[in-house]
Amino acid sequence: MKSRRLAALLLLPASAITLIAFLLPMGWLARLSLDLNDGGILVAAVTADNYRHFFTDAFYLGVLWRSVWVASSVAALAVLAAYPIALFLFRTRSRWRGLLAVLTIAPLLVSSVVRTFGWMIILGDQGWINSTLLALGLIAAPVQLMNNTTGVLIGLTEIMMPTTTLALLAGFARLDLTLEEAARTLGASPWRCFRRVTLPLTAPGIAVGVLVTFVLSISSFITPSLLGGGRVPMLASTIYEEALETLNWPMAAAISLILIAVFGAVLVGYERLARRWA
Amino acid sequence: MGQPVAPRGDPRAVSEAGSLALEGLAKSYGETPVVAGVDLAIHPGEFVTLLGPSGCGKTTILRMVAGLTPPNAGRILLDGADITALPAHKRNMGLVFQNYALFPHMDVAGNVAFGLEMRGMKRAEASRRVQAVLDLVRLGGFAARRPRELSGGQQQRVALARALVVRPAVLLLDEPLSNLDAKLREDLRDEIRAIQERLRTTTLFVTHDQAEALTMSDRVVVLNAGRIEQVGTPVEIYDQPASPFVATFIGRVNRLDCTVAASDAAGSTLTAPGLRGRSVRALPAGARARAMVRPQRISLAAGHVEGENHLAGTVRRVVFAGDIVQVEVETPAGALTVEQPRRGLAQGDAVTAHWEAADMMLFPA
Repeated sequence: MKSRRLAALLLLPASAITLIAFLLPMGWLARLSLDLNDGGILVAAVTADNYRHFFTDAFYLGVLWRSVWVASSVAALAVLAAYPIALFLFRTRSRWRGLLAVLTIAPLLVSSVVRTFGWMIILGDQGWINSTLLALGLIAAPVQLMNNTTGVLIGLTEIMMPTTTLALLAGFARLDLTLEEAARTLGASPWRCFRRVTLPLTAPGIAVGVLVTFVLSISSFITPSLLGGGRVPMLASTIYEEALETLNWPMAAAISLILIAVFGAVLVGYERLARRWA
Repeated sequence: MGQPVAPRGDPRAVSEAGSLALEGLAKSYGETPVVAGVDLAIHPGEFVTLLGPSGCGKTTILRMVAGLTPPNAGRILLDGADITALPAHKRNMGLVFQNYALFPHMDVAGNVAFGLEMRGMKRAEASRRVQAVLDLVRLGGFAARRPRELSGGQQQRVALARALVVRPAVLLLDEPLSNLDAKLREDLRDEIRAIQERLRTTTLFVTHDQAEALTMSDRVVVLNAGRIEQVGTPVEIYDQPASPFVATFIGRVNRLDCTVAASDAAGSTLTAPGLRGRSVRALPAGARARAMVRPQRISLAAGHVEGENHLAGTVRRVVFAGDIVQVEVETPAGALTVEQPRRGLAQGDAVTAHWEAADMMLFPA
C-alpha cells in the first residue's frame, strides 16, 4: 500500500503538468471547435458546422488532401534516402562510425528556418541550380523549383532526413549481421540476401521512420510556408491563418482536431503493424 | 543459381566428394596476424576439429573457408578447385553458428527451405527434403514453429538441418554447442557425430572444448596463436602431444623439471630431486628438460618404494570428486596431482608415485 501511495505521489507532478498543459487545452480546443464565428467575433454554440464546412469546402478538402499527400511523399522520399545511410551506420565497424553518425545528425543543430533559407538560395530563380543550368545552356529560362509543391518536397525531405535516420536506426534492433552471413552461406546472392533477410528484418525501422517523418511533415509549418511561397497551403499553415489572420478561432480549433485525428489514424495503422512484429 | 543441385532422393544419400585443402592460409588485421600460414588437407567424409584457446584463429579459418572473411594469403581448394576468390553464396558450404542465426521472420520449415529456395528447387521437392531432414534431427513435428518458440538445443538442431539440407560440400560448425547447457551439449554432441557418420559429409568443427574435440573428431588440429601446433587423431593428440602447449591444453599434466643424464635409441634417463626417471622419448644428454605425466597415469603405493620412475612423497590433500579421487602429493621434485579411483588415503600418508616410461612425455625446457 505504502509503495503504491509513493508511486502516486511521484506521478503527481508529471500528471499535473500533463493535465494543465495538454488535457485542459485540448478540452478547451474541442469545445471551441463547436462554437461559431461571425466576422471575427466568437459566437457561443454547440454545432458541428465548422466540421461540416471543412468537409464540404473544396479549399479545405484540398488542404487536407495536399497535406496528406506531401507528408506521405516526404516520408517515402526521406526513408528512401536515409535507409542506405542508416544501414551503413548500423553495419560499419569503421573507427569513423561515431563521427559519421554525428555528421548525419549535425543538421539538427541548425534551426530549420536557417536550413529552409539555405534551400531558397539553392532553389530560387537566381539560385545555384538555375544559374548553373542557365550558364551551361541546358535551359533557356529558370525552372520553377520553389514557391510550389516541388520546393516543399525537396526542402522538407532534407530537413526530415536526420530525424528519419535516427528513427530507422532505432528500429533496426532485429537485424543481426550473422543472419545475413547465414543467408549468404546458404546460397543467397547479395541482392536476394537483402530482399529476403535484411529488408524484412529492418521493416520495423522503416515503419518507425515513415511514422515519425509523416507526423513531423504533416504538422510542419515553416518549411511549407517559406518554400511554398504561400501557394502550398497545408494544415498547419491554414490553422495559423484561421487563428491569426481571419480570426476564425472555432475553425482553427476544428482543423487542429482534424489534424490530431489524422495522427491518430496513422498511429493506429502503425500499432497494427508493430503488433505483428512484437 | 548456376551450380549443380545435389542428387535427388534420400537425405541420407552419401556424398562422395568434399575434400578440402588449405595452403598457406593467412589473415591479419592491420599488424596483428590472426592466422599465420596454415596448411591442412581434409579428406572426403572426414570430421576434423580445429581446437584452440580463444584468439587462436580457429573461427577466422572457418570464416575464410565459408567465404565470409577474405584471406590475405594462401589458397582454399575444394575437390581440387581453387575457391579462394569465390563469394560465399557460390561455395556450397553449410555453416552452423554459435548463436544459431535462425531467421526470426520465418518458421522452422522456411528456415530449412531457405537454401533450397536459393538454389531454385521446386516447392514440392523442397518441402519433401525439408521434412526428411527435420525428421533426421528429430524435429519432424516442429515445421510450423517460429525459432523463438524453440529451446536452444532445438534451435541449434534446426540450424544443423538448414545447413545439411542443401547437401553442402563441407559442413562448417562454429562452436555450435557453446551456448547450450552441459547435459544438452553432450546429447547434441553425440547426435551431430551420429548424423555426420550417417551422411559422411566432410565436416570442419571449431571448438575450444577439448572434450568435444576428442569425442567427436576423426582428426584434431590444435591451434595456438594462428599456427598449427599438431594434427592427429584424438589418441595421438592426447598420448603423443607434439609440444608442451598441446600437452597442457589437452587434458591436465604434472610438470617435472629434470636433467637428461643419458640418452639412447630407446629413450632417455633423467634425474630430478628424489627421482631416477626414464622416458621413451630421447633428448640430448646434459640438456635441461620438462617432463610431463598425466594425473591418471600415476599410481600410488603406500610407503616408500625404490625404483625407476618412483617418486616418494607425502599426501598433502585428498579431494573427493565422485568417480575419482584427486590426491595432491608433495615430493622433492615438486607437487604432483594424481587421479585414481581408490579411496582410503589421508593427509600426511607417506606414499610413492609411480608411472611407466611410456607415459612420461619429454620436451626441451
